[in-house]
Amino acid sequence: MPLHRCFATIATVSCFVLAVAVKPAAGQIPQLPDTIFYSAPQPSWTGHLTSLAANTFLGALTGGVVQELRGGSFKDGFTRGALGGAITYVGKRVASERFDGAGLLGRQVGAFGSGLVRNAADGVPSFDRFVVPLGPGRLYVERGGDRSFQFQPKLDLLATAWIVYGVVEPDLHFDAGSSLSAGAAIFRTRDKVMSHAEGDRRVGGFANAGVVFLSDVPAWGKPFLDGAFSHERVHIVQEDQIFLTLTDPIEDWVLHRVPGGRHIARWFDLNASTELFRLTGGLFSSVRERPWEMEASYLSR
Amino acid sequence: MGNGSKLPFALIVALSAGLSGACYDFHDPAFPESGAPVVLHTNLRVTEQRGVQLEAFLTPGLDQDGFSREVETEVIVLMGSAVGPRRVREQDVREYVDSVALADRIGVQPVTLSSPRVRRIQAPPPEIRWFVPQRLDPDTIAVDAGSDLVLRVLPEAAASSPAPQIRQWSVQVTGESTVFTAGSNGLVPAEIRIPAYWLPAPDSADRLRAVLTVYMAGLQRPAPGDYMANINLDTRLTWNIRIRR
Repeated sequence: MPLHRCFATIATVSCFVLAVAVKPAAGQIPQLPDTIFYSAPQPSWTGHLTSLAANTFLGALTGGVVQELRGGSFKDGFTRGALGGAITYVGKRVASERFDGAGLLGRQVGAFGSGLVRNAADGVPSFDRFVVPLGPGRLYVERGGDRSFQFQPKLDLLATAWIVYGVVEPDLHFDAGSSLSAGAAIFRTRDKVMSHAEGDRRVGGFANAGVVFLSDVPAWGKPFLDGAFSHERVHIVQEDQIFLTLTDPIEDWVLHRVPGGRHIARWFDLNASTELFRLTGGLFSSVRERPWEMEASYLSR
Repeated sequence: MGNGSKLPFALIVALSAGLSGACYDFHDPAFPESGAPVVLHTNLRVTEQRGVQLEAFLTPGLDQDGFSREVETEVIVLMGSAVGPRRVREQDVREYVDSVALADRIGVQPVTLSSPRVRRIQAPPPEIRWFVPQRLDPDTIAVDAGSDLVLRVLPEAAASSPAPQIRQWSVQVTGESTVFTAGSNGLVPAEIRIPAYWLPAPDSADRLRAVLTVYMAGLQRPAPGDYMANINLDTRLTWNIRIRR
């Protein structure tokens, strides 16, 4: 078996074993129906199956359609994109778990899956390019013509801007331990509840370009605070997914056509993933109806 | 990086300045009163089709020092089955939605429920053992045209404990296009007799449908009063009635 196929098999099997083996969320009673369709309780696997199917389909469609538009094979892009989408689901599932480092591990697994979708869309071999998200930056790993790997770090401009905001905002403080565990910058309030400046919807947290702000109100209790943090970790993986598969290719395409843009694209990512979520969020009448919120709420319940 | 070298840093500065001006507002949290009792609000519905359906909310609240109370055993035990919370909301409010199948006909077994246990609460978790009415007729009965309709029930197989503070019942007989309704408070009578002249006209297949709804409710607050359970229970019994001509 060729090395890359062997690696693919091991990676896929490992991811699914990981997804199945992880413990149920804290406070949940195993084997209880916790998915509700049309007011009827269903076993929990139906919700996971829905999320898995949606991610697989999204990956397959992205891989297939983009490769077709580039003059490649829809079937090849669809198949490899489906695998990448399924692994992205595993990343979200792991990121939502309640153990230390779950966010970091889940984010890497999710980025690996999204990288497969991106490779499928671009028509390049599945394991010739990887993206490793590290806080407000990413390490792009690419196999060169001589089969050796080349490394290119990039700084995420929007994530950096949100970190600067978190540092200068007096009502927020940086949580180093949670950041290390989540693999992303985490800021917390001191006994304050956050709301959007333009509205008055008070929330447990926000995720913007992989930077999380949490309303840390101790009286809400640990189960709720853990749930809110888990919810935002799923959003981090979702933002990576949308960035790597949809917005980054467009950003790179645009930057390669403006003066000096090629050099900027080499060292920096703009990251419009959160903005894309914000724009499409307007299509839904309430926040709860947004598919990415439903997924995050379900996985972090 | 040539001409674009300063652009990324300018972008970060501009974005940061923009974000800090119009991002988030920070508010003081609103809390339940410190020292207020734990509250369990429960709605139960008993039907032949779906057994015992539960919808409940547990609000552990804050202790005297203003700290969130810890839920020791977060399951509600309904008819002997453990029901865990479907989700945990702000302020540790636990939401329960589930159903438990009945092992026997409605009313043969009591509806039992034990509340979750909360740490450092002195009152015992409220419990109920309520007997709901039992239909004594088969699910389909035949009535001669022009005769009174008689529905027979066993109001309570044994005494409910603790006794519900509120009991109401109503019977609804549905025909082709009209509905007859009667009801009262108190224990449902063992025999509900509906005179023939009040019965609605049957449908084209000479059939009527009667639904008896019995509502029981009670507020339990065992001493010393730091745990309160508000329990509502609806039972629905159905008769299919064939008019014999």
